[in-house]
Amino acid sequence: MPLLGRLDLDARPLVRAALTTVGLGVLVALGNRGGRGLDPALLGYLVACLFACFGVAYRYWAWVERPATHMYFRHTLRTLRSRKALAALLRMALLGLDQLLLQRFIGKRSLKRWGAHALIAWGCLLAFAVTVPLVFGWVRFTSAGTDASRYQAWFFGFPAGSFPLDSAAAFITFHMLDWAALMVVAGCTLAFLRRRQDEGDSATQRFDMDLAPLLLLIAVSVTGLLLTVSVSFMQGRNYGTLAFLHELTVILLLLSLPFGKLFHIVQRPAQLGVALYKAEGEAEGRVPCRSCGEPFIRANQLRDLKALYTALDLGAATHGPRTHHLELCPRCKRRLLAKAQWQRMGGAFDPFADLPEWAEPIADPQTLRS
Amino acid sequence: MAEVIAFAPPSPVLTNFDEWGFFIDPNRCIGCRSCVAACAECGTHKGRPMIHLDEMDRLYSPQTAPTVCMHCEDPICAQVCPADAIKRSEDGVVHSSQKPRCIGCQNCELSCPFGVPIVFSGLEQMLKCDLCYDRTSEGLKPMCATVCPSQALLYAPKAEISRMRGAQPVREFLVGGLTVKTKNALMVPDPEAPLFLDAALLIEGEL
Amino acid sequence: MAILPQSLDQLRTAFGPHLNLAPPHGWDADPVPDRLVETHCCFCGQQCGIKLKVKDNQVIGFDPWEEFPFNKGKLCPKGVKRYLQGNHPDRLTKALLRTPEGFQESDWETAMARTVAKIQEIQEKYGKDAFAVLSGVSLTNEKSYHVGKFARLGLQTKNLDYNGRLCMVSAGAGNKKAFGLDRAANSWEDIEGAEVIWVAGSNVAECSPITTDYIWRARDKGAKLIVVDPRITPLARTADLVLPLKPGTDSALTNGILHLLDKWNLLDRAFIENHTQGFEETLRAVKDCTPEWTSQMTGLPVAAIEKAARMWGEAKTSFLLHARGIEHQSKGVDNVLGCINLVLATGRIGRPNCGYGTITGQGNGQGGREHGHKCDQLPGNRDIENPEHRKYICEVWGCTDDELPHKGISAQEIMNAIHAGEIKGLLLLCFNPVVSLPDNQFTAEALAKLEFFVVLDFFASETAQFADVILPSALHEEDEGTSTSVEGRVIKINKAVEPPGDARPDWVILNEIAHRLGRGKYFDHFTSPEAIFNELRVASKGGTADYYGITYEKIERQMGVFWPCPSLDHPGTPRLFEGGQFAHPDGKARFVPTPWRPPMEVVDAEYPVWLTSGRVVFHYLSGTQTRRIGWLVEQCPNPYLEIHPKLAAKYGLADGDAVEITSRRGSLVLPAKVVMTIRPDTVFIPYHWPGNLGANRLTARHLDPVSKIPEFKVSACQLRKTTPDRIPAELHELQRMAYEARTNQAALPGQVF
Repeated sequence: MPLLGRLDLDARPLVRAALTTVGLGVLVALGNRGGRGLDPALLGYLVACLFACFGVAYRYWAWVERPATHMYFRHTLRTLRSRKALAALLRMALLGLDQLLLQRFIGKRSLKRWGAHALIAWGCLLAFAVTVPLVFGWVRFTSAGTDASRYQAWFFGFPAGSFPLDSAAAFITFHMLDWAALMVVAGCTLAFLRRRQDEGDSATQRFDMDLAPLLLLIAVSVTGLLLTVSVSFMQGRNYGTLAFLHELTVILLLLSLPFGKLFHIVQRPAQLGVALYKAEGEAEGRVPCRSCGEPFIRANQLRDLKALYTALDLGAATHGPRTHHLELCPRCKRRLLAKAQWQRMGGAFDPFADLPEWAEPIADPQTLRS
Repeated sequence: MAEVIAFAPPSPVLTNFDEWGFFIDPNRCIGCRSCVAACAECGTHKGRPMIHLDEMDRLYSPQTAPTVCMHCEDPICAQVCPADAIKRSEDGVVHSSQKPRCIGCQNCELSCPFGVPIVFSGLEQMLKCDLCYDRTSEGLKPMCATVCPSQALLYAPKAEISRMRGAQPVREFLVGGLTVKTKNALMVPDPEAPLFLDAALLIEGEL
Repeated sequence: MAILPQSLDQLRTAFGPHLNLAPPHGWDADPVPDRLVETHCCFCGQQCGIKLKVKDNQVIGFDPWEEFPFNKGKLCPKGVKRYLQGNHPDRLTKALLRTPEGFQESDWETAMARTVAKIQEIQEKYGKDAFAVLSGVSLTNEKSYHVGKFARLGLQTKNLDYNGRLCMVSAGAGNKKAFGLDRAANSWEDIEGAEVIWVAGSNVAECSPITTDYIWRARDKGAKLIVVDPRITPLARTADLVLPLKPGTDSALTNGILHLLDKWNLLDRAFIENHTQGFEETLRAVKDCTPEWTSQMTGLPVAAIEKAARMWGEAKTSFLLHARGIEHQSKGVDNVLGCINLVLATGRIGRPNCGYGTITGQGNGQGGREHGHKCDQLPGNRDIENPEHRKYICEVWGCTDDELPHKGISAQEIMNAIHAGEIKGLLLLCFNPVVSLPDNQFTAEALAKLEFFVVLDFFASETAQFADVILPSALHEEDEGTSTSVEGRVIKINKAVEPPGDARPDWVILNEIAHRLGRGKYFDHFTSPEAIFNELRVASKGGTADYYGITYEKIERQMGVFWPCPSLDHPGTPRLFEGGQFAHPDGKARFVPTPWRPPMEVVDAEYPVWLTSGRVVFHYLSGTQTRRIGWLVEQCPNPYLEIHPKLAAKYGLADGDAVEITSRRGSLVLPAKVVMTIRPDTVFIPYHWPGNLGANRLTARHLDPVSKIPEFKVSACQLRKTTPDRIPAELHELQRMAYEARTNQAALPGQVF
């Protein structure tokens, strides 16, 4: 524990992360038939993947334990364990299509941002979809028996068809990573251009949070593309050095996953849970503001936020025994601030309170001479 | 007889961000919504104002109140954010939610003691006043405080505020029983005591 | 025959007002401007400095101009959004000719030839004076001067007047009578040091928002604020003393205060003795104006009147500001003089922290009323009937006295003469009388009687829609020139972009008409605004409004020059009347008695409610520009009737109910806005809209006998609750447009709260 204390790591997420990593290890071993499917050249990547898994899992479990996050996590778990699970899963799948795959909400933030983000996201997804099974040994290719012109594909150690070396399928398959790399480079370039133009982003962006991930992604893609260049156009010259460089950048990328901007890939699905939560709250109804009477806060969120306030030591934010600050709508909170200041400044007056007469016609204005 | 009027020198480049303060005096507000208009014009907001301008109660009074983010020292919006998306930079500015993280849950919007953050439903993102970071970080005043005709929104050197104004800044608020400290200040005649935000001011009868 | 060529709906489809919602390339475009142009806002007499962002000959946004000393970057919402008047779908870029089928676009030559032929035809048939010119003071000094010269020497008509007749003439006449000169007596810097600030008939917060900060700065130093207004305006809300008097009783109040100042001996006897005339006579006139009498007239409590007199009388320094509230009356000049009497009686003028000013309404409300734009005036604020003055101007213009027409008639009188068939042709620019003159049905009838009507405008305003020919003119940001702000500070308007299509600056168009009329010898040398300004400088030399020492270069270097500036090495005069030296030949100011006169129309059993009108912060005058800017319309799409709950209860009205307001001129149906911030015997309507949405359907053509200003601020009306379906379709259309603007703006996703 003293070591843990110094590292500022929490025990429970640590245990969970370790279990997650072991779980992944078991899946890898099962999938590659106890190591028989492993490509020795990719061992370094495998080790990095396991480390990244540990890091991401630790960060994820620690994040989920934050009181505010737990509020939603607990709700999603409860839903998935209830009778509503099937409907919820279906809804989450549809939402996932819209928000995670098509990312249409980013398009509403800005079309340029969506373009850049889609290229990067889909490029990365494609690349990982190709490389992770290869690294884990879940998928491999060998020469088909003695026929050197054909390739045999293996999935989880089972033969899964063969195809000729010079076929279009082969060309597309073996260059999949090149397509992915090109997409990522294009996306990152667009992102840089957009960031330079956008006054808001250029003011608030930080190198470590916003620019470094883009640079790292470009480095991975370019070194990967150079491997192809080396093989196809340079008779394999410098292949070894390039392969080392590529491996280095990929490992850096994997290990940075838990720390930087890219962690949002793991966090983002929480959005689906929030959507469920909101839908459920709408069904339950909105609670009216204690001041203006307009319904505004969903009943479940009011309950959970009150509990959260207590957990966060914010429980004192109440007015008298019956009114919680959360029960004032944002507009009334703003009005309260101004009203409190106005009272301290001296308060109001009604200049019409003591007018001697009103709404009475002047009897005969012509005769009222000075 | 003629006298040359003293022309103001070019506006000083606002060096040293820390020495400048944002001072809000809703009592001076004339409800012209210039702040709202200008906030939306800012290159970073693209037509979306981040400042609020509310009528207090038009039946009784023309009083209006501008609200910008107070930039809390320990922002409740950040504490209740499930995505850990709201960050306060070292200069004390609480920023809009980080775009990659924000999941649009509205916890911040409902929890902010001053009713500041705005969650845009289609964007799945919370946006809020960030003290015009693109301007203030370059030594310019925030847009709203620059244009405000009555200077209900004032951005000025902290050292000069006692000379400039009758009322003085308070940066501590009592939200019911909870103390909230902020970077931005509200102007009151007696700044020693924190400003007590008591819902009884709005709600008549039992709370 | 100048009736409307198409239905109102067809005209609206063709010419708007439509809304401009976003900068030229939308909100997401993030364009980098090519340059920033330092210029001024076109809305209102404060003339705030502003920078316009320009890219590819389009104004794409604004930036605060913090170095400009008057407003130091501050702007009201009209200023912030002013750039949206450019790149507007309603913008006129071709000349339009009326045909039986409606307006048709025309090439420039045809439109010009027709205009000139018609002018000649009418003038030959009915005489030179049968063709009149109506102009406006959103024009620069150069253009104002040019219009004056164009009417007198180009058209050779005496009948020229301007829409300052609806704005500054009462103040101007009062100032000339009392001080011998017509300008705010101080730069606004003097407000800051005043102990008491008296604001009469001015909704400062909405009509001149930047002045609010000057007043607040004084209050930070302990100044007391007195506001005289039948409504609790945003500034009045926090005032130390509010005097919500009955509409039209302002001179009774100032008389009552002067009575008390004398009674309590709160007068500056030495100042009165040494620097003024006419005090005894004025004092005699207020002999009977006891607090009780004043209270009865104004509907104010005696205690409040006495408190005001104490506050004003006991102060050591003070600043008095007034605006249209007291000036838009059939005794507007009296009201102004009543205020000036209070200033003179306490001797608080012409020294630091002591001052007086009238707040100009229109963009160039000050400069536009100085250089021969009025029916009775020649440049330099000279008198057109004064032989000396005529002689000087004839010399400058190179004409004979015979060629220079004499005094013509005022704006409302021109409209009356058109209605009576005495004036047959009209050239109009920078003016939308269908909205801004009282009794708008009368105005429409009059315009329909014109034999020929030509309008110069950048949008087809409601008035332009009556025209036979519309010539497209340039926007504020499409030409350069000078204007004179509320403080008397001459400032420089800079050109940001070129006018689109066939549009061109008014002075270019008038030059061409004059040339074609064979009067080119007086106009052909005007090749630039600066050339006009240089002639204006000479023409104003020796007049009270002396611009001779002001040059474009000096304005830019000093960020404005206060007139009078009689020589090139003179720095300008921010504070007038120093040392008690006034502009009358004997150097003394004049007290002028203002015996009580009631308004021309007073409430009675049949029309029992006072009606007053005014502005909102989101719109400028007749709204030709601001009713086309999306964001501003969003904030205030339509007129309404402000009414106190007590009065509303009397008629069974709740907030939002439809109410029919009827005066002796006509009636309107508007939604009620029930607020406790107005006198319970008075209702208020903002006036920026045309036709059956216009407050001016109800107002009367009663004029001040001296200034000829119409009595916009006082009418009698009756109220009746009615059904919502009687609210005009136009009002619903405006609300729909505003709603669309809110929801469509850059396809903004919904905001939850």
